[in-house]
Amino acid sequence: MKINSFILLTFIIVIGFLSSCRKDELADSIFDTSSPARTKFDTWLLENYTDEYNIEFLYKFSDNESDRNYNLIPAELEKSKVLAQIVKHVWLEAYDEVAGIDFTRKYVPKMIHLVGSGAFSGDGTVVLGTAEGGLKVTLYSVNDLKLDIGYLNEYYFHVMHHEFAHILHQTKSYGTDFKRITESGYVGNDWYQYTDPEAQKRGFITAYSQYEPNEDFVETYSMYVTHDQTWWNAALTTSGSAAPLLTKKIETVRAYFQTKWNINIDSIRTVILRRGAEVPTINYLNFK
Amino acid sequence: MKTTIFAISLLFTTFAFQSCLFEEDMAFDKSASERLISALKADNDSLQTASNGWAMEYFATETSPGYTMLVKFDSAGNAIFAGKSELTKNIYTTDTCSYQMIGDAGPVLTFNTFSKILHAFSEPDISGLGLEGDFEFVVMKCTANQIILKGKKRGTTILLNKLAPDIVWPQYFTDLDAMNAVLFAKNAPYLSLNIVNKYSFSNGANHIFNILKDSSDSNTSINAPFIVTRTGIRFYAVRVLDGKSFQTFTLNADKSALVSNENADVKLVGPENLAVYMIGNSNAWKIDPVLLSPKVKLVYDLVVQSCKTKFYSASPTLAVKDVILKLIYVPKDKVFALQLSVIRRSSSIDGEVYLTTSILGNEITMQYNGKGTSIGLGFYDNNAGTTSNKIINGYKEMAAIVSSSFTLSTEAPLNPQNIKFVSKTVADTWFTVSSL
Repeated sequence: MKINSFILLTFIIVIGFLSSCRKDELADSIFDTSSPARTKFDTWLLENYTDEYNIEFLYKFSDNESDRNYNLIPAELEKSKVLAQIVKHVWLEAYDEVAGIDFTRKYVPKMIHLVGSGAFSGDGTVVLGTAEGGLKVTLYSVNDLKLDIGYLNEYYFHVMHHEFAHILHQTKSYGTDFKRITESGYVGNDWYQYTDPEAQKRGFITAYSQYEPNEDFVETYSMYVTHDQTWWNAALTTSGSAAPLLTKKIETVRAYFQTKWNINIDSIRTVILRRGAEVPTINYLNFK
Repeated sequence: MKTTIFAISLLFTTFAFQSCLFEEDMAFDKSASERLISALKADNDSLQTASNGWAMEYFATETSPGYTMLVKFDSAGNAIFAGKSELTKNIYTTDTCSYQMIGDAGPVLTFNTFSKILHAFSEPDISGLGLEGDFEFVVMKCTANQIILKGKKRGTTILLNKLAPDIVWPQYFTDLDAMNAVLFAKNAPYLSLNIVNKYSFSNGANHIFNILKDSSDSNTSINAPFIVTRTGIRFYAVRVLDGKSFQTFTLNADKSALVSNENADVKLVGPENLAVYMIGNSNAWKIDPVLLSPKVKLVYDLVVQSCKTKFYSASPTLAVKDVILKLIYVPKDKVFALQLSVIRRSSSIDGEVYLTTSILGNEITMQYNGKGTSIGLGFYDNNAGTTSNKIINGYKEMAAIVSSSFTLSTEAPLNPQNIKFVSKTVADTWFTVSSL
């Protein structure tokens, strides 16, 4: 009896499920699925960013992708065209050259958003660039773009290498040795009370390095690969008795990149500096 | 068995409920997404229908003055802007940026690449603020000739008024400048509004009126931003005083008043008494070397020639660059003075004789009283105590001309920049003074 009841119940449930299946004809999408009209620049971005790296390059201001804590403005179109070519040449293709394009494609953030103005906080500080969760890089002050690699490093590439290094160490962690080099020196939110030279005397390459070990690790990497040896040696000189600490940190970073990623940081630095030096003489496309 | 029957019944009941799932009445004939897509397309089409573009009446915030920009939308997603204001150094400027209708907080019009015309209102300064204007707008209402936008961040209302095809863009700004000059050129007086009470509307040149009820504490004044239009002005918001509401004003035919479009009996008018205005609003009025009667002109030219002769110098530093006759008010003596200024490259010699002054309505009576500064008296006819020791031919005659009773009038009652003096007693004697 119980078995019959079970069969009956199962039969009814099956019928019920079947009755819920309707033969709906698939209608056309209510959304416009045709390709949007593209300018020559849009097509170049499609081919050189989206198809090549799976990166969405947002040169048109997107409120939803911006930080609403700030008053911001869109980027100038002509400056965006130039910066798109610089970022590809100096940042993406540098990693392509040293680690292979598949490496770049896999780990690079998937969105680059340009903003025309700086993000002024009102207390005299300005945000130059941000990266969120390894997914999106926001580049500010595009309307003040200068074809000067020192400027570009300060405003863009320092933070881009910084954030890219975060993605890498979050993918393959570095050892605890690094954290112990200046373990008692981290100051958290008070980092801004120091200048870079003061930080260097404490064994940190920048003031922000003092925030916490992960920031220290990526700052050390980013500052190293965006500056030449002369600059690094000057930093060591400034650091005085703390120079061995900085040297130990960069050696730890070097070992990490070599063993975990098979990247020689001196090689990547050479490529980055060479490509950076080429910025003023790149034959920029104007897409007209 | 009972349990089984109960379970089966429950299942059938459930199916019965399920069968009702697709029989709900739809409040709209299309889904929200479809309606939004339709709205975006319709709004985009509307933007592009204006072949000569739109006049954008823009307020960065509810407390900011209004600015006019012209904008035209093309099918390639370009917005061509034109502007002329202090933000463009008062030079007619055009610029192109991209625009897009996006589904956000409803249909939103975004200008998403930089335009030096529009985004000047949004660009942050080091404080992080700037003028705090929007560049993304919710489309609130779209009609054939007007689109009402609302700033996405600040919530300010922005109007797009369709331009007639024959309007030439640079001329549009010339017309705005002309209206602004009529209303608010230098030393513009405060305007008055008489309803039940009397109100003064001051500081109009900033395009934010300071409205104060007559005889009230200045702390009780309110600020009312407005925009200058080709026909008058429009306040950002509807204002209500003494129960009368108003927002848009049109300059009347004789340019004597701004008349409210909403209430014809609400009028903004200029100074009631020109002589009082001359004393109170500007203490220097230049006698125009052109706008005067032939009789006065003869004397005026004599003064100028005499100054050039008697102060002649071959030195570029000391050579006479200009000669100016002015009426200036001397508050401590409560008199007007006839001032003669001999202008050199970087200095001037100023002499004054005083004119006893009395005012009656729009009439003024002046009479040389034998007093003045030592230089002025030296110019006049005696050398006592003068440093220049130069009598200026015609100065005495000019003092005699202004020693008369005059009727005052102006062609611009709202903002009298030129006031005509016509002698009541001496024939063919009139001259015009202009505000300095």
